[in-house]
Amino acid sequence: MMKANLAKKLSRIKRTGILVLLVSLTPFFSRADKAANYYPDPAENVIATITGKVTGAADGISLIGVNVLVKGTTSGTVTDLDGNFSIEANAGDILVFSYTGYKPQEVMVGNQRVINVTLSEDVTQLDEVVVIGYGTQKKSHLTGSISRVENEKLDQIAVSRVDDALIGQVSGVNIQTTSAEAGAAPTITVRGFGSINANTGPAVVVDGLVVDADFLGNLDMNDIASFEVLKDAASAAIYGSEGSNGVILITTKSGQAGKTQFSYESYVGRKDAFGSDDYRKSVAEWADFELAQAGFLTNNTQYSLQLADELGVDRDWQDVFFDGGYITSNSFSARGGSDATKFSASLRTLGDQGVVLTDDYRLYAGNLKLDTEVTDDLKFGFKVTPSYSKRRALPTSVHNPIRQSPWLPIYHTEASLKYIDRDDYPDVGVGDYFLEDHLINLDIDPTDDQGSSRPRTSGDMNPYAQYVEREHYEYNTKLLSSAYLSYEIADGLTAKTSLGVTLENRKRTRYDGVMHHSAGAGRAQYNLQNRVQNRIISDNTISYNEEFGKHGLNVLAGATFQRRQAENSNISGSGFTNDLLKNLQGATIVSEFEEVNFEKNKIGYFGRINYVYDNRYLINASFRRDASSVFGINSKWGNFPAVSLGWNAHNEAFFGGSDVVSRMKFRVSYGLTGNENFSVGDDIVNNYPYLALLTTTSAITEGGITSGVSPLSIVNPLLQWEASEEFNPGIDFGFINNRIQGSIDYYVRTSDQLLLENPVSYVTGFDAGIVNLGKVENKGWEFELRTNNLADSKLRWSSTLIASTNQNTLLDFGESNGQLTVDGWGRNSQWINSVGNPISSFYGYVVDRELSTQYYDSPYIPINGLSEDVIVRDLNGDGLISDEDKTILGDPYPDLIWSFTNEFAFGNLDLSVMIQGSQGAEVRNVGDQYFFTHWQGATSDVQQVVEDGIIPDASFLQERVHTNDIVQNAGYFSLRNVNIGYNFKANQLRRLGLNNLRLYLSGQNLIYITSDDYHGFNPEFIDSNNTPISYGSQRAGTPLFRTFTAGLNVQF
Amino acid sequence: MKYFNYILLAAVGFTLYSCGDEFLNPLPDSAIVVDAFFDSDDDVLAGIIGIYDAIQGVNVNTESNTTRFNRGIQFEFMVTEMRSDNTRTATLEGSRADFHRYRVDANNVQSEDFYQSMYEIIFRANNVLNFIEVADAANQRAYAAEAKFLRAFAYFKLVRLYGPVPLVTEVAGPADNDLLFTRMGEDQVYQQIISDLQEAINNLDNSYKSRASKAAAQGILAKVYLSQPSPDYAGAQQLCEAIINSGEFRLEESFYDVFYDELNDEILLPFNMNSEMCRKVRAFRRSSRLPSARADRTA
Repeated sequence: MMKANLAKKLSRIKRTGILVLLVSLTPFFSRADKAANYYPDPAENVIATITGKVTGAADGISLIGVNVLVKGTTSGTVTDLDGNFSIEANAGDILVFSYTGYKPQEVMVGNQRVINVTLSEDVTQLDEVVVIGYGTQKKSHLTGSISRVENEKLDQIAVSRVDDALIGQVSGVNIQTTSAEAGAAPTITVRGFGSINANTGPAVVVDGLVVDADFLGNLDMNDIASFEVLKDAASAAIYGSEGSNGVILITTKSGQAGKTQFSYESYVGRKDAFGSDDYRKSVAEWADFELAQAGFLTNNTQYSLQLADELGVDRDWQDVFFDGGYITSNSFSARGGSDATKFSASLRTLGDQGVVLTDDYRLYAGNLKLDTEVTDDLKFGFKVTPSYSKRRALPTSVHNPIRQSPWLPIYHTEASLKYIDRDDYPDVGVGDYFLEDHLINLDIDPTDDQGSSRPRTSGDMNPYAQYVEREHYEYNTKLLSSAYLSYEIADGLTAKTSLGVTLENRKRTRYDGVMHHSAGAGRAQYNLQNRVQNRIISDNTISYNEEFGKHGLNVLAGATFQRRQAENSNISGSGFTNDLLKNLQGATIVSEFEEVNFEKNKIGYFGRINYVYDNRYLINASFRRDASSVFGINSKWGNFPAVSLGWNAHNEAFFGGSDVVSRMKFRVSYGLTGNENFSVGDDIVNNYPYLALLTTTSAITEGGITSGVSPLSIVNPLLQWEASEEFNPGIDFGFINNRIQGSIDYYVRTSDQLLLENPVSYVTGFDAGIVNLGKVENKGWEFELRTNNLADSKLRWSSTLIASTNQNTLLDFGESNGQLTVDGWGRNSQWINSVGNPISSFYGYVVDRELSTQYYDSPYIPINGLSEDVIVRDLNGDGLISDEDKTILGDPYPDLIWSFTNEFAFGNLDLSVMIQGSQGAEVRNVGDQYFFTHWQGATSDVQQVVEDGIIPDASFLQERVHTNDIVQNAGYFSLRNVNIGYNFKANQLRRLGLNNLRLYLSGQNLIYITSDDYHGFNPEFIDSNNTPISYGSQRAGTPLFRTFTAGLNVQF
Repeated sequence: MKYFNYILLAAVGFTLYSCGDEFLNPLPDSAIVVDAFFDSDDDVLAGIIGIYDAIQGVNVNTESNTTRFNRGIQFEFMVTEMRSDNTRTATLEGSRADFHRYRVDANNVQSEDFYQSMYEIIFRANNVLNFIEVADAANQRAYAAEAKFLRAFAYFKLVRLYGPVPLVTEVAGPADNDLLFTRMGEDQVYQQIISDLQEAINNLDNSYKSRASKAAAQGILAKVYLSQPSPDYAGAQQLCEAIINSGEFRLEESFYDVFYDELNDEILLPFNMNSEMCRKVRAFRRSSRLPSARADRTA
């Protein structure tokens, strides 16, 4: 019967043709369903509508989403929110009820018209099946530390990237909004920073295919069924060189046999930035403050007041730049199929306007996934996920425009024309950008030769023009595609081969228009960067999965081959005279051209044995051997073994099936993982570090360009794998029929032979070389507790508490121990990399007290100005301030991250609330120096301060930017997610022809509390110019924001 | 079973295809492998030209991140003029402002950049000196002299600004700690400079203007004699007279012309720049890590 159906369908597929199949999958399958119903077997009774309710045997709670299928056909349905179903069947039919975690049940229809079913939990299947590396495993058989997150409401969180929605969902995983621009990637770390120059982010695997973490920005959350995070080395070791920072496995939704389910998900959200009150500037308020403090007003303030008054502008630039925006998402999907062939297809559009002026993100993504059983033994699947995104990036850090004067208008008006210095700016008129420079020669204090009495902050650009007249775009076109063929050779023995391809094109265009800078068209320029990357992965596995009595055995062996190629090109143009053509076509000079290609290949062989005795004793051992083209001739291969053990104590006789202790599993794991992906900023060095290479250079000699060569980098032919070993004991527990369940994990991960771009003496001709140096330890506790507080049929309440700690320690740094590094902004703020402390620790002086204003050069000159110097503490008490008095001022790594989620359901209404936080990290906020314009508050006469007995020695005055004053607490507490939704009743929906309708309101970051000593816009922000050994600084950052969303999900 | 055979075939096929030596040892097409280079006179000359590239450095206007060096001679006005009363910086922000306030310390990024830039010149010179014998016999002495001239040029800047400095006359690896971290006395540095310049005077002629020449070596050596701890005025005078007497140089009529045509007769050694040259920087590969580095110029 089934074979016949299959044959019929296969012939139909041939007739209809592949093209039609792709275009009209959905109608095709629905037609097949109807055909079965139109021609009932005359021998059977007529069709009747069967209704009923499905409940759980243990608690009597109605089960939602139970599959109800007429056996041997494709016609089926699922139970609604009240556990009710309605299906058409013959008296001779058998209904099959199936539900994950429960024993399936078959009921003969006979003469019944109402069939109520109670399903009992299936102990062997009680825990869901968890996706692991190159396979799946029963959760009860797991011996490693793997967290699973199902997409229940993640798609209702209004964020533009899937990783943003995972904040607070998994213990041990820190997702930090290190850039808050629309569409920009957060920084993900699993169990702390284990690497320095090597990648610190987890590997991302989508339906078995290893992809670049970039793809997290181009996936559609509505397509994702679940995330599994492989946290410990033993679980990740099967990925060998990809696994050292954890692995995020993403499983996308598949179709189910039966009627095609269409769904439409849509939301619109309003985003508003928090901003910073500490940085808010106002001429009027400053004048009040100054009068109260000094009793008079400086010329600068008087002049500013006059300008503010006559031009009618006295507002903080935050009000202009943090303009908020809307985020909208629309997703449409169809999922269904027959017993043999299942499909899932979806389309999505997303628009995110960001909260800052000009930032904008748009994503268009599609997905098609097909799985088919060609025969009982042979399976074939294909998926393709194309996407396109366009992002307008901020042209410069937001601190730049926002710190400018509050009296500065955007455009000139009639009123402002009289302030223009006509000697230098004869042509400026109404509607042109107002520049501070236009006021030159209107110096109100001719005695000051620096001209600082002219009201100015520091900018020579119009803040607004600096953003609006610069268009920086990033376009990403990506394709992720994979196909597999699997064949069951004998019972339990399966061979599978899959081929995955990812194609990525990233184009960046940066146009700085003719009016973006005060210098005019001369500074207009255009830069075009193109990056084409492809990665081909061939995975081949053979697995054996069988149970013999009390013995369960799962064996896997496989080989993987990967080829990555990248082509980068870069070209710039200048000489623009207008903004008519904002690309190379408008340029008259083409320059700064470059083409860099590289290839990176890998071979991996792996095997794993998982043995379970009587569901009590679990053992798991795996081995992977990888070769990477990146490493030296004799160090290409690396070995990554792992072993883990588990004991399901609750299955022991002495627990006697206790209801109180329903689960008690002890496990311990140990494994090695590697890392090969490092970035020293130069793609050639990143990919060929063991080759002595020359780069072409050019020099001007005798008036012409002559080409030459120069060595590219310090060669390291011995470069080898960075290796992490991790020890992870853990307990999984469940009490009172698993109404209370959770886990506790402790981990120690030691990363050794770190791939490090280590500074070398400049005398070598280089500033750094890539070496294997150093050892870093990350250790911590992870705690997850899920409780079912109320399981009443009217009101349900459950809670989830997730907390994890991490302590990062540099264990060994060779001769570089104690090395000091500085930021890239010429501020000379220091970091120390010293053994016994976190990798990057802030280093500097400790503020003892403030210097009184009488000693400042000009205490009230810049609005909101603060002194540049402070009196620092003589830590070693020798009466002088020297480098000896510097100390560690903090580090950028959180000690504790946590979340607490409560979910309530009463009737059709449900509510979930997540509070989330991070504690223990500091951030070096150089924003203070810009917003409080330290440099204008220099000390006029240091010697006078000494003579007045304020300080014993001039060295006691140090720049504030070198002290703990700008090392600020980055901890926060947030009301991260709130979601309140109403699910319409099935009988209300039936009239509309819908299966499901949910309306909801949600909010992100409704409350976000930062420490009092943090002044910036986003304590999680890390500037992109940070290096791993000088990490954790920002210039106030792009602002965090609050989102209010309204959305609906419909299924029909 | 036949399907399995196909799978096996596919897997084996890919394995065979990919297990070649090239798969794990790919060669770049955007850089030159040293082993395949330095086997002709032209190659050595290219190495010499590479030293001039180090002098010209990256473009200070387009390469804004201070962790990327080499702005050497473009920062020279900061480490020299700005500490005089000839000029002061327009900015009050950051380490650039430290010069006119005389607060320069070892962490000053511009000073550090300058120091580093000089050693890049020295390194490239030392590196080419290893390959001199590859060049045509007739050119070997001139090539060596040119590399040494440029090395002396850099050491002369270093010794005047930093006093005793590590003195390397061969390629030093990251582990050669004795060489890298021993500051040699000014006398020894001057000795090396003088010997390098004398070799240049003996082996170069005046056929180039914006590359090393005999006159340029004489001019710099004269300055060296005047700058060294015990000045040699007579030696300096002799060298200057030699330049004057060569008849190839003369003062410009108008002072203005000295600076607006670098190849004029008053100049002994210009380091040429042009707009294209200034813009060609290694910004892109670097920027793959730092997408917005360029945008931070105004900071």
